[in-house]
Amino acid sequence: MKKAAFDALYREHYGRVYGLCRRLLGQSADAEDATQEVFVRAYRSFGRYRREDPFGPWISTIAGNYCIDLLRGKQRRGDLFNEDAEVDPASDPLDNGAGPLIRSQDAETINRAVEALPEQFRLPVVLAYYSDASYDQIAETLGITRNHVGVLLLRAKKKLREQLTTQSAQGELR
Amino acid sequence: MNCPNELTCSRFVDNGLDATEHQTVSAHIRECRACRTLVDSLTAERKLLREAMQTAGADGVIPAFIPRPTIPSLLVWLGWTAVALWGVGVVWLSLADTLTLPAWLSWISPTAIGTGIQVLVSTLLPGSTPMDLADGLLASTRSVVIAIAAIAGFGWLVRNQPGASGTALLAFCLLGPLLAAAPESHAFDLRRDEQRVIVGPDEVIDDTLIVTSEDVLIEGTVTGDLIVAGETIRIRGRIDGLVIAMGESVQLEGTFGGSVLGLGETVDVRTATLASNLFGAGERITVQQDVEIRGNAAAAGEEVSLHGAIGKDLISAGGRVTLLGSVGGSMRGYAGKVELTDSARIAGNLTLRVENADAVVIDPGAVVSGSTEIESWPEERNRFLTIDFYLGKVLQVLAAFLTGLVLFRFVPALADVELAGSTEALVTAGIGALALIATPVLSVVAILTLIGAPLGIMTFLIWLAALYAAGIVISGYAGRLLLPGAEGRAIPLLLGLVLLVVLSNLPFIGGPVKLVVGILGLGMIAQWLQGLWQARRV
Repeated sequence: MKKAAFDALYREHYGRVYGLCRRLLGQSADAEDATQEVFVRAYRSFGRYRREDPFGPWISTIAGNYCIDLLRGKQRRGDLFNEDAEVDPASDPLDNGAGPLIRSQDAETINRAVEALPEQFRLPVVLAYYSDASYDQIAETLGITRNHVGVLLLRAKKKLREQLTTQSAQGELR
Repeated sequence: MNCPNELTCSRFVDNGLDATEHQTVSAHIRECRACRTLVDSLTAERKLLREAMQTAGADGVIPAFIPRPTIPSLLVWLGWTAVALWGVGVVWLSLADTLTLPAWLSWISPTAIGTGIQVLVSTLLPGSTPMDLADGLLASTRSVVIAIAAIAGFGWLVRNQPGASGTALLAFCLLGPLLAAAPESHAFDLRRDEQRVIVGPDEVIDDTLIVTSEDVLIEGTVTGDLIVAGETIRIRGRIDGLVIAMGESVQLEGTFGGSVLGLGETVDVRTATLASNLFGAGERITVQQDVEIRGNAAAAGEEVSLHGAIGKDLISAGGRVTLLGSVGGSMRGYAGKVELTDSARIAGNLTLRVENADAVVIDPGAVVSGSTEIESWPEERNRFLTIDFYLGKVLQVLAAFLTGLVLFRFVPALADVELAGSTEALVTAGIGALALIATPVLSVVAILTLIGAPLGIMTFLIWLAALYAAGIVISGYAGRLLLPGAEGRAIPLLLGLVLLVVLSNLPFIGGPVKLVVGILGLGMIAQWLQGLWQARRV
C-alpha cells in the first residue's frame, strides 16, 4: 500500500528532485545517486508525511537538506557560508545602483551561467528560483539569516549579469 | 521615505521583506517613477531567471525505485522487540514470587524460556552438561540481544530524535544493559575489612558475594558468585556460582558449582569438588589427590602439580608440569619440563611442546590411552612455509572482503571516506590514536567497577568490531587511490585488502603497518560518526 502510493509520487516528482539535486550539487557529485538517496530517505519517513500537504515542497526540503549536507561533508572544515556572514547593507559594494540587468537570453545560456556560480551563490539561487523556496525556507536550509539570503541572491544576480553581459559582448564581437 | 536601495528592491521582488517593509516599499514605488522602473526590471529579471531554470527537467529515463530494507530499521525493530521482551521479563521476575500462573499459561514465564533452551541444547548436543551450557547460552543471548537493542536504540536516536525524548531514550538504552546483566537476585553483598573477613560455616549468602580483606575465610554457603581479593584466601564452604579468587595464597577446599578462577602466588586446591572448570594461574599451582574436577582444567605456573581427577581436558603451561592424577580427556602441555608419574592416567591424547625431548619424563606405570606427540618448540616450522598459513590468509581476505561489501552496501559513506590533505590526515590520526588507546582503557576501567562491566564489555566488543572495520575502510581507500578509474567498490576493496594482508604479514614492518592502519581507520570512522551526528536532519 505504502509502496504503491509512494511509487506514484516517485514517478511524478523524480524529474524535479533530480533537477534540484543536479543544480544544487553542480559538478561535485552524482545527482542520480543523490536523488535515489533522497527518495530512500523520504520513503523511510513517509509515515510522518501528512497526505493533505503537497508532496513537492516536502521532498524538496529533504533534497535540499541532503544536498547541503553532502556539500558540507565535502568541505567539513570550512563552512559554506562563513565568509562575511552578516553584511551591512549600507556599506555593501553591491549597492551602487543596478547595472545592466539580465536580458532575454536563451534558457541554456542562463542555466550554464547559474551552474558556473560559486557554491555559496548557486545554492540560494537554485532554492529560490528553481524550488520556489521562501526566504525563510532558504535561511533554514542553509543555516543563515533571512537578511543574508537577500544579500546572497542579489550578489548572485550581479555575478550572473556580469557573466552574461561579457558573454553576449563576446558573441557580438564574433 | 528615501528611495530604497537595490538590495531592498531585490528582496521586495523576491517577496523577502517582512509585511511592514513590504508595504512601505509598495507605497513608495507608487510615487517614485525611478524606483518603479528599477522594481519592474528586477521583476522581469526574476521572471526570466525562473523560467529559464524551470525549463530543463529530468534527462533520460527514471530509474526504478527500490526501497532497500536498511540495517538500521531492521535493528531498530529487533532492538525494540528485545527491549520490550526483556522489560516484561524483569517485571515478571519481580512478580514471580507473588503471582502463580495457571498451568496452561506457564509457558510465558521467563524461566520457561531458560528451560526451553536447556531442553534444546541437551537434545542437540548429547553428552554436554545441559545446565551450564544452557545458562551460558541464555546469558550470552540475552547480552547480545540487549547490546543490539542498545546500539539500535542509540542509532535511531541519533537519526531521529534530537531533544528531550531522545535523552530519555538514551538513558534507557544505557541503563537497560546495566540492569539486564545484574545478577538474578538483583543485589550483591559487599564485605570489606582491613584485616579479616570470615563467613562462618552456618552462614548462607543468597547473593553474589564480593570480599576484599587481608585474610579471608569462607566456610559458609554462597548461592551466587564469589569474588575475593586478599592476601590469604581460604574457601571451604559451598559456592554455587562462579568463583574468582585473587591473592598471595589461595586455598580451595569446598564444593564449587561453577567455574573457579584462582590467581595467586600459590593456588592450592585440596579436597575440593568442582562441578565445572578450574582455571589456575600463579607461581605454584597444586591440585591435591582428593580433588575432583568435572570440567576442564587449565593451569599455568612456574611449578604445576596435578594430582586429582580431571573429568575433561587439561591444558597446562609452565616451567615444570607434573601429572600424578587422571585426566578424562586429552592433555596438552607447554612447559620447560613435563613429568608423568606412575599414577598418571590420560584417557585421550597427550600433546606436549617442550624445550627438548629430554625434558619429558614418562614413568613406566603412566598410561596414555590415545596418541602421544612430543614436539620441541624452538624448532617450530617457519609459518611462511606452510600451506595452512596461506590458506588462512586467503580466507581472511575473503571474509574481510565479504564483510566490506556488506558494510559498504549499508553504510556507503564509509566507502567514500578520504583524507583531503596532510593537516586532515594528522587530525584523523590524532582522533584514531585516541580511539585506539582510550576505548580499551575506558572499557577496562568500566569493567573494574563491576556495575559498569556490561557496558565496558560491550564497548570493548564494539571497539574490536570498529578495529576490524578500520582495516576494511583503509583497504577500500587504498584501493581507490591505486585504481582511480575503477567501477564500483569491489575491485578496489579486494586489491586494498590483499595489499594490507601482505604488508601486515611482512617481518619487521607488519606491526607498524597494522598500527598505522588501525589509527587511521578508527580516525576515519570516528570522523564519519561525527559527521553523522552533525547531519542529524532529515
